[in-house]
Amino acid sequence: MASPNVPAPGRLAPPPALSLTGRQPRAVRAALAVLEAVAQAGPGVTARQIATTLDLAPATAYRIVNLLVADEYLVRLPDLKGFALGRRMEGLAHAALPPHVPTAAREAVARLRTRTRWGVHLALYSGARIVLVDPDPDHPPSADSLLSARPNASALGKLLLAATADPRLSGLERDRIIADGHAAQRGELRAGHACLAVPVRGPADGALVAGLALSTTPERLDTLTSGELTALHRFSTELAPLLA
Amino acid sequence: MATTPALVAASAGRGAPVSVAIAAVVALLVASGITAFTRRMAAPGSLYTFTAKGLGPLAALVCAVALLIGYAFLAMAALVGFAQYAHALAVRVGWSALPAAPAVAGLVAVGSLGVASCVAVGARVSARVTLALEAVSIALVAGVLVVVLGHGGGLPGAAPLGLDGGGPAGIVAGVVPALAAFIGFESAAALGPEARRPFRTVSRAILGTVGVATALYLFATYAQVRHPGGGRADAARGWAAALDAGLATSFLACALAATTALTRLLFVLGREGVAPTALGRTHPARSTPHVAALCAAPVVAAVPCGLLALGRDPAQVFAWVMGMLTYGHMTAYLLVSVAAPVFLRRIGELTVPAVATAAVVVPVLVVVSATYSGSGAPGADGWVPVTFAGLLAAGLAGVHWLRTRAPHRLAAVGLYDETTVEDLCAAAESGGATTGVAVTASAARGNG
Repeated sequence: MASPNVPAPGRLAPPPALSLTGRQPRAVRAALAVLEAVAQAGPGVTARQIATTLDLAPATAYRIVNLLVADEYLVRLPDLKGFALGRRMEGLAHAALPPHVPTAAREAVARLRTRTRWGVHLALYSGARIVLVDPDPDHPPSADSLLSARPNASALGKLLLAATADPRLSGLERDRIIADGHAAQRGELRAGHACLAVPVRGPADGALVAGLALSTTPERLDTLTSGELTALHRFSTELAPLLA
Repeated sequence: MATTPALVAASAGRGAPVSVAIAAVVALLVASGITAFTRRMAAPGSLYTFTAKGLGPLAALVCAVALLIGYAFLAMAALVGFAQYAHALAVRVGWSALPAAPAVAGLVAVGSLGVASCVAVGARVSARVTLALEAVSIALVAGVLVVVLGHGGGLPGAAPLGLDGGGPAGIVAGVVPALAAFIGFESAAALGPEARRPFRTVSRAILGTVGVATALYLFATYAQVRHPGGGRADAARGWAAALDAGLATSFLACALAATTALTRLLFVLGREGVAPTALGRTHPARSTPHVAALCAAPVVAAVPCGLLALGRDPAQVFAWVMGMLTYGHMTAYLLVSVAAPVFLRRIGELTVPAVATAAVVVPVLVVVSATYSGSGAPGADGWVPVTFAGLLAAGLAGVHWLRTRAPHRLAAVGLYDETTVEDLCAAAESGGATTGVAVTASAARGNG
């Protein structure tokens, strides 16, 4: 009975044609308070406990909890009594929290900036999103949202597309990125700007966790020496245990 | 849609729409009890699994036996209905060489074979066949109703009805055939594990089915009471043939749906080890429960064919089989209605409306069933409840045997699709090692 209009979780849903006036502020507040209560209490909290905590009428709390379960913001645990935050909350949590970058990693990137003539940016990958966690203050990069929206035009985005075998990247380009161990773009995102990105991979599983980008002009990118490239790869290997 | 009004009117006379309205309210109350479960869990065993969660394994197995009877006889009734109308159509277009009984028996056998092969081939095929049959049937029946009733005639081919009689007792007796027409509204409950966002879609499908069916039946019953009898049957011979074809396809679709539900239930029982484990096997390539489908088909075909061979006429067989399926479903509805508040209490989410629903629906189902079995309605003769009780007793004997020989199998009763670690928010899970372990441990306990 899977309805074709229901999008797969994680994919962007087309806005449903709701005849909604938004004039039920109490219901909206109660639903958000229920989510908060489950987050604070941890997995296993029961509907009755939620009702008591929030001072809601039990029937109201049960209705809200079951609506949130139906939409997969909450899940019912196997004992059928307890609740936990559902997978759909993961997207919200990731979007709300800037990914944590240890001070040691920031200091290492700052040291690299003093030794090089390029702009250096550090970005973390969070699902399909690219988050610039440590942009170079002297060479302001394009906005995160632009990178995430047009990953096939940026070096950091191409690394992500190559790692996920995304069809937006041609097979030829993907093979070259994997063989070279880095991705580059020349004026594809902004005229007069070029970028080269090397991946930072988890030391244990080799999964793509972050990208280190050198930003410059297209002409200067061509003057990058193989010695500088090797040093950049070595640096990304050193950065890996700090980020993964 | 076209046979129900006549059956209801046979008991309730002019009060038929009232019977239908009462039946709709009862079906809605039963549905609200069922959705108490479908909003909270997704189980392929539907009412059987829900009863297990509320009342424990023994009551659940009673429900399973009742549901097996309900779905098996629903499939039989639908096949007999299909065969009767297909035969009537053949006679109408001029092939009247064969006497009714052997022709109907042959059509029942062919129909059951076709239906079982559809189920064994796969859900996609049977869903498409059902959709195609229903589309044809609704187009034909609705077309005939609009054209013929629009001209002020009666339903072609339908026998003229005496609309006197009825009265309060008749109206109550008429509720059972009306309720029987709603049977099957719960079938979406078994599809939860396959649906996306099941806690929302399944409940909506169940309540939506009851709503749409209510509108259709009220319209058809009202039409029946206003225009009883086939005054213009001769003038509308072509329409009558179209109506026969529409009803035959509709019954075939119903047989397919009932066989699917029956197969699914047998499959779940086989999986849990309550029934022979072979029933829980799936086809290696198509992953359909082909063993359960192929076991169900001969039984479903043999019972009506046997009754026809004993010299009963097709209409009698249809009424008798309808009686059986009604008792089976009423028992299952009764059990799940009792189970709903018990289950809600167990998980600490009991509300006053849930208790009130059960308090209304349980006595109503008992009173209505008792009135029906005491009435002279077709299918209400004394043999039906006796046979049903006999089959139920045989099922209970099997359960008792299971309890003494293999009590561990009863522990498996009530499996459902559980929350797994993948469904949880990873951020919450990593919040503490202890909570993560607790979730995994409780998941493992549930699976054991």
